[in-house]
Amino acid sequence: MNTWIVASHPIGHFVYNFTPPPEPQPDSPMQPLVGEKTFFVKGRIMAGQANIAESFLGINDFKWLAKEEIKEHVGVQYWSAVKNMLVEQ
Amino acid sequence: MPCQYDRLVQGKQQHFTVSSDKVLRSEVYVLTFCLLESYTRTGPFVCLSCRLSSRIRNYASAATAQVATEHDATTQFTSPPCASPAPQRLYTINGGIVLSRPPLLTPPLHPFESSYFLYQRRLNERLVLPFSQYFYYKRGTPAFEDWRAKRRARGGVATRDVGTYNAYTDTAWNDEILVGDKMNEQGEVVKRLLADESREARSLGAREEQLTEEGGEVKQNGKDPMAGLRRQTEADRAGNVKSLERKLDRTLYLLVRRGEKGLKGERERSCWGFPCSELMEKEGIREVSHLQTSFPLRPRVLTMLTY
Repeated sequence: MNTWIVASHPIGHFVYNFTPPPEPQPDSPMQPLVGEKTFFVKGRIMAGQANIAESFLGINDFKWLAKEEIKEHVGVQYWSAVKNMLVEQ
Repeated sequence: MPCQYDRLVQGKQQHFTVSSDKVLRSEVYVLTFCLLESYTRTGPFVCLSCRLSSRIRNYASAATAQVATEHDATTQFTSPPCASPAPQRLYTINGGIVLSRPPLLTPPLHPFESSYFLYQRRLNERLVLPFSQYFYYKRGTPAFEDWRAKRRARGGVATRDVGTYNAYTDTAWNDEILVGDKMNEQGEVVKRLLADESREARSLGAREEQLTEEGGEVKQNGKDPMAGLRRQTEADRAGNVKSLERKLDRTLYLLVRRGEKGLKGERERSCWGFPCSELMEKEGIREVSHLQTSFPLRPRVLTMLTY
């Protein structure tokens, strides 16, 4: 898969807070993680195809989808965080 | 402007120290993390002097240019410590990649656009000088005879995509098409241009039997007279969502699924997303994103944040 990452700075982010939120521990210096923040970087595929056979990230399926098709696949909060960085056409 | 920001990530302490003459991008990351986290906390975290000295970053490259112009390398000041009574809310930082295949075809024309283009072509017929045929086709050659025959079939007009509209006859006033006439549509224009080639085959003596209709497509001698590729590919007809040949006039994005199989509804939706993975020590988003595109090739390695 021949790809090109356009820039170093992110084009969008998604904040996920764990539910229920963990209890803060005021005494210890190690605080529990409250959630995850994902920063997205823009890339282009020039040639090739995605290969998930030896993926170490635990990926078991992939799809190439247009913007409105992504809306049907992802959750509501993820979509609202992600939709503005995707192109209509 | 040195700014120190300590962050506890899974028990390991990390220092993101940015000195005054450091490269711009690492400063952007630190400030982005700082400010994004401060916005998500409950209660004030960033003190006023820090907030005034830090600049709001949004997702634009113009932001880095702004830092370059306004930053003064010679001034050094330490920001006062931002003491917060509330415990820090800590997040795992992930780097994701939005891998896109840009459109390979122009989008289909809106009916207004195609009407407008036909109007412009017919207007052009009225305004330009007649086609200089003797420059391109020499008298006495077969090409000349062939072109003359085709022009006669078109009603005496050289242009192939305006229909039988001739701006130099008495009916030149009749330049508008009726409502419901599909002549201006993109598909019809292409058919008319190709029919030009089929006429060529007939004029050279091809018989009617050789033009057969197979599978709804007009073929000539077994070969498709439509020399060229279709806008709708095999992947479109089959609905193959893994193919990159699908929907050639749209941008396609890579979406991956992580999690157990056989889930339904909301849980299934939570499995799908853009490929992302956690940042390890001294990794930037770009490194992690790059690793994801080459995930079949090598396992995770710790990379230095180098520019």
